[in-house]
Amino acid sequence: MNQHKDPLPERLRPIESLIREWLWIDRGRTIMLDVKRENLVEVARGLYKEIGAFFKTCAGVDERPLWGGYAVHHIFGIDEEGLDVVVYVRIPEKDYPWVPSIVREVPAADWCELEFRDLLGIDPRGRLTQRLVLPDDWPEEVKPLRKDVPYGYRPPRAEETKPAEVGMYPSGVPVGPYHPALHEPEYFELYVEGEEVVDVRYRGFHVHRGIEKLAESPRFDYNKVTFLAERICGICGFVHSCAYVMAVERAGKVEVPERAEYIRALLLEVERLHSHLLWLGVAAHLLGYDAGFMHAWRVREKTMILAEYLTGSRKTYGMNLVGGVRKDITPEKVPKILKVLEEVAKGTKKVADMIVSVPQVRKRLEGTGVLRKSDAAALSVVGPVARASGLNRDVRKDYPYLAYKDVSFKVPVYSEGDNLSRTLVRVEEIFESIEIIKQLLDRMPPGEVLNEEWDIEPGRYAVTSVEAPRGEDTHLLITGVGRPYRWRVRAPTYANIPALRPMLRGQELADAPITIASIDPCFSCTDRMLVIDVRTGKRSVLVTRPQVKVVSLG
Amino acid sequence: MSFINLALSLALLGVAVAIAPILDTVDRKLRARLHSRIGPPTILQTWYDIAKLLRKEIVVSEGGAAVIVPLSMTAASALLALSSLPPGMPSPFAPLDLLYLIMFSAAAHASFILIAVSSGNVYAVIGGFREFVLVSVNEVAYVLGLTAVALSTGVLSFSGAAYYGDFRPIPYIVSFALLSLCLYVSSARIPFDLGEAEPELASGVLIELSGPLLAFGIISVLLKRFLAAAVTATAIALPIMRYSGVYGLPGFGLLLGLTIAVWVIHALIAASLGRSRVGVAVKTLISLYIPLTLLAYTLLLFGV
Repeated sequence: MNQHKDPLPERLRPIESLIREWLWIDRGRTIMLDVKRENLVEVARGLYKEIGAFFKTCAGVDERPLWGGYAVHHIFGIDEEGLDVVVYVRIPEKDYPWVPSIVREVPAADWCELEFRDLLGIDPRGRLTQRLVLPDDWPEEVKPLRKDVPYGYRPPRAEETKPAEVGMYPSGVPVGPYHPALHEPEYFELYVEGEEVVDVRYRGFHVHRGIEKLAESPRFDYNKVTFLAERICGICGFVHSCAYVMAVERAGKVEVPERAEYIRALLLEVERLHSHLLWLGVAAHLLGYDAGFMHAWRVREKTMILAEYLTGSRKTYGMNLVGGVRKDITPEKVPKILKVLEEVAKGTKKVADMIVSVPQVRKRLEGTGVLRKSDAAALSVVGPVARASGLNRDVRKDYPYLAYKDVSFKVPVYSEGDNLSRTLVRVEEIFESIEIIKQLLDRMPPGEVLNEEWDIEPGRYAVTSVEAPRGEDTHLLITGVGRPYRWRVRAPTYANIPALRPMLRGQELADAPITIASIDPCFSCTDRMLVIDVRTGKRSVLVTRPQVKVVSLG
Repeated sequence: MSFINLALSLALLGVAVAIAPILDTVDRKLRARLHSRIGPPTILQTWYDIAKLLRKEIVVSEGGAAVIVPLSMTAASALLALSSLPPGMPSPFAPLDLLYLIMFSAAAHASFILIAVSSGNVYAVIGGFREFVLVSVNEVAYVLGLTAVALSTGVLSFSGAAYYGDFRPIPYIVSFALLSLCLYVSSARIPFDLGEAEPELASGVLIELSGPLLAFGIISVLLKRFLAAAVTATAIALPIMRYSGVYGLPGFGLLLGLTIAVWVIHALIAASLGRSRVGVAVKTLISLYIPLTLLAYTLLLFGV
């Protein structure tokens, strides 16, 4: 490990007695606390409730080839200090690895615990468990992220599997997996009394793409993973690519030319512009105001053309490499960029004013989908969702990276926590992004944009966070030989979806789509079907090919 | 009833069926212009869409067969309601044309709700109940508005008012405002398209329909929309017919022209608003209907 033995930060003193050892992974930025398994819950409680850290994610790692056991990494962030705290727990058992669950202390750890249970077979004890990521017919004994499972493993096709029982109420309104309010397939079941939503159940992770495993495969090297990372998301792919290369560069101590850092920051802001304008249009459409939808997308189109002008692609820019970027933004491009920014600023002002002044739109945004500050903090939500609920969280300010330390900008924060606040946060962020791009262009230093002279030692470690349009995108990386040994990605939607339950409860059904959309969700690629037997009210999820075939043929 | 009365009434029905989809394309084209996009490539686009649906196979979902009767009733009721209007000549239903208009309009709305309930789909049922709530409020105001318009002409018949109505301008204008608002709501456009609210209910009432059944569903909705525009147009045309003596074919043309104009106005209003919620919509409507109704009947009562 890349470690430095500096003193423990003052902020972490309350839990000092529970820490076996601490290592500065990245001085001033990331500290790893080696904690005995029996002290994990106490440490998590101390960090979350006493010290006031936010929970970012957790990851299980198969470290048997390194020292003979497994490990769990819980990543917390102390925003005020700009400090990532990795709580590292060794698990000596090779056959039935387990760790105590921290979900009672840290509700935000719910999904990632289930995820390491599914993918590595590390059992989080002391909580209810269920499959989260793997399909129901995946063989129980195969844990795909273990190092002895080949990346190309295909499980035998299951022809007959007992359908999983789902649903808690006798009746519900299914929203998804294919639904006009959702622009990606996902599944919500809303339980309603009249028009009021009384509860909600979400089922996601229907197709896990195995990207983390793929990155560890011999088909990939450090640079190729950059392009894989960009394909995690069709809207904010550059965020993932940046978070990944930054993790590699930090872990491997790769020097990155300053100009490349400016270009990356600039493109991240271009991506934020198009993403927020896209969201604004979708929100208007969900509220039945299609004029707002079309005009928001008309303005957005300019940002897409700008992206193409700067990178050669409207989306999936393919600009990043470990050590810098592939293409420079030359001075002769600056006037055109400024012209487009001017047009986008004017257009956004008009469209945003128009949308929020439509009475029906305003009424349906104001006071709906409220997420209280306490709930937002408990669930460690991120991005505009957090900022609209009064949490002043923005990775660009709290954990400065790339060129953000050299620019000044405001972080819009609202206290109402409703759909209108989330809308206004995004609208204000559009203008802030425009100002950031102008400052970056003004201050961009000359020089090279790519350092190709680097060599990365195995066993090094880094945690990076990038502020995506939807919130904080966190990547954990352990270096291997020629490629990552372990790469963990936590997209912002992962942190924000659990907040939908408190947001939707008590709302009218009509406002459910805009409330779901207000977190600007980004889901995986497909879903399974829910079957309701109308005679018995019994629900089941179709999991086998014959079951699907029977239903398809009616 | 003379042959020409019947011929003009039938012509109105034929024209309604023929041009409602064309007007829908106009609607789409207008919206597209306001959205800075091109919109449908031809004025016949909605007709092409309907024709395409009609050529598809009939797929009836479980419980879907039950929607066929209310679907037919919706279209038939809308057409019968249309034939209660004076198309340049007295309606075949005169002098009880207003009664028939109210009855058939209500039947069109009721059967539309029945489509939803019959399909058994959860989205359709929710859409149906939304329609029911909205129609319950709107129909009361519609009857009161229609009656107030008639009372301010001194004749309880549109056909009669076109020939010998004695119009009282101020009550007529207030009653017309009430009636036209009710008719806009009954046209099920934004912000009152709650039964079909696509982002929430995925077409709501019509969700179980596909192919030819969906084509008939679309025609039914368009006919209801045409009816709303035509009744509004009739209320505008009545004083013109009465005082300018525009009857027969010119009267028919006047009614048709005004219907198209009202349709366009409805389309423009819809394009500039967002969708409401059922609770908010009902409250808003009640807060508008009560003062307008009170004002109209007070003016009538005091002989203004």
